Amino acid sequence: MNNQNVLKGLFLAAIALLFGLQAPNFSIGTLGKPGPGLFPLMVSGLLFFVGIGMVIKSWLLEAKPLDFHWRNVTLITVSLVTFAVITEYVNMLVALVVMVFMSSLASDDFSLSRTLKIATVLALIAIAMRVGLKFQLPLY
Amino acid sequence: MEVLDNLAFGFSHALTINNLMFCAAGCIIGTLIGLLPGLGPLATISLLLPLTYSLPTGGALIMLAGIYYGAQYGDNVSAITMKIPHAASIVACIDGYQMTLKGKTGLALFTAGVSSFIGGTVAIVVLAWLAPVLSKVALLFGPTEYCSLVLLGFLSVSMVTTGSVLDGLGMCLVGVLLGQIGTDVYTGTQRFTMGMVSLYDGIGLVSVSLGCFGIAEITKNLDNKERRSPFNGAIKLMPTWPEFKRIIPSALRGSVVGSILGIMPGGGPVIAQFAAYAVDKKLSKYKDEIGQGAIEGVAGQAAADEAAARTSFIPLMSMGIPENAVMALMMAAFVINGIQPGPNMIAQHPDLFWGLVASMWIGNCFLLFLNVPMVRYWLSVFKIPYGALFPGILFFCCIGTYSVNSNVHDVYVTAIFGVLGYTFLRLKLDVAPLMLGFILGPMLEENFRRALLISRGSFAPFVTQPISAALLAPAALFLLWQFFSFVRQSLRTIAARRQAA
Repeated sequence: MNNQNVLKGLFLAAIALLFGLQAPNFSIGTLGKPGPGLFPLMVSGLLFFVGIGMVIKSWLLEAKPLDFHWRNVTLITVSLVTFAVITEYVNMLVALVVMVFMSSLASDDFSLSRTLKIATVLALIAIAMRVGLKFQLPLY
Repeated sequence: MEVLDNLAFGFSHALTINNLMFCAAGCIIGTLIGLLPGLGPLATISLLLPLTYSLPTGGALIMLAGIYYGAQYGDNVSAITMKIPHAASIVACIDGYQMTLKGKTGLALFTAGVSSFIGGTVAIVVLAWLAPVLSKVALLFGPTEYCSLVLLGFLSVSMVTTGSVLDGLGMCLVGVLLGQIGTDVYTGTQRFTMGMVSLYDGIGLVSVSLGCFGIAEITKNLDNKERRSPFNGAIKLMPTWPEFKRIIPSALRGSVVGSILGIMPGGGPVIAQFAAYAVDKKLSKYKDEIGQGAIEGVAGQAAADEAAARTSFIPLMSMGIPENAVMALMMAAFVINGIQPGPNMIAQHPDLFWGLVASMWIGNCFLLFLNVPMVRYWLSVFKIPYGALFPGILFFCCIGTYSVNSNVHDVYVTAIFGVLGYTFLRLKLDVAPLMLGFILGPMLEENFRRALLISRGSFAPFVTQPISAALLAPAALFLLWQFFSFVRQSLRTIAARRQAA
């Protein structure tokens, strides 16, 4: 099952179903007087067939295993979400420092002093953007 | 003569101190991101989109355009010196890197610079002449024709992107569906918003592109853990006269090929490079040397690259239809500044249009005179390790997303699209068609519904109206050909498997 070609077809078909099954909730209308549901229904129908087509085609191609590294994508995503949460409840400078440290863990040559330097430089840039360029950043 | 008048008018706008500075800034930022991994022109343009609210319209557009063609140039440099193409310069890696191995880095860089200049110049002449003509044709277009044109665009983009037609088409459709999220313009119905107020206006373009291109790219680079060794060789820039003479014919051929392919729906720099390289392999006097570090192998593709980057502005500015993902973002930049690209744009905003065209030529000069002698300093960028670079890129992605609406919730959307983009990347699905679908989707739906309303539900006008039929015919032929070659291939595979069994 771990075959890139099959999985991408299934993934697209799943997206098609996600949208296509909701589309009939909006009014479809008629072809002469199309409602808001008609176009998404047609597009997701087409996408579903494209996805199925990929699955069929994968049978002709050589299987390629999926190369998915959970660690880095999780670290980066979590650090982005943390950035947003801290910005909302504390302020952006704290969020920035936390994000730099969290995301740097994804790098294979992590060093504490370098990360500190990066955080300082970025904080200075952010302050300069607020003071100099009048960006509305909730820094403090 | 009219063209000359118009160009002179354009230069009077582009040569103001402000616009010169925007042009230079665009070229410098563009070259830098072309050299660096992790931020292509797509991510950078979307990063700077919010900034353009506070800039004068003309200057903002000049700068964004400069980023686009500057990045093509920077990409060429890193491809020639280190065989690292980030976005587009795949072809430059072949002969360009071979020349570096032979110790002719300087010559290769000079060739690329001069050829880009030639290609850009030819393309600007084409642009100045053709765009006004095409915008008159575009006035004949109704909803039916626009639908057919967009469909043809989707198909051609799918054809030229990596992978198969199915992959590209699928990604376009995913983009169209994502563009459906939000409020329906005709009835006010909330579609796919899951009751979240922040989605009523639809998903932000900046969030989608920074997630799919910025965040996903960062994650991929972290996965690869590649160590780059900075380039330290000697660079001797000036060519000898016989060498210089070899650049010109090949660059001119490349310019023509690039200009034509840039205008085609779905065309653009990448396909133009390959075509120009193939043409040189057939026609050049030195065709036997191509592939082993020939000047022609660098000159033709660089000229085509730059020419196509310029002429791909033609469909956007004259018909209002972007033909690739970068142009789709440029269209967003126009719209943010209150200008609707399309047949009326040249008449309504001549200063913007001709100013932009003229600024491209000025940008060309900047790139040539700034970058060719200073290439050594640019290359020192590579001494920064990626581990020190990416937290900064990540932070700018956050700020870029945040400053669109001053809303933290957009950062969550970016994070979601980061994961989605990374998944697509690992599934070997190209995200560029998704971007095009996302931006063209609402336009396609509006025109589709209008066309059906006019025809009272009949699909006949799509094939009976001459312009629409002429657009759909090649699309249909292409699909049929794809289908038959697929059937033939499957039959062959089945036969081969039987024999093996």
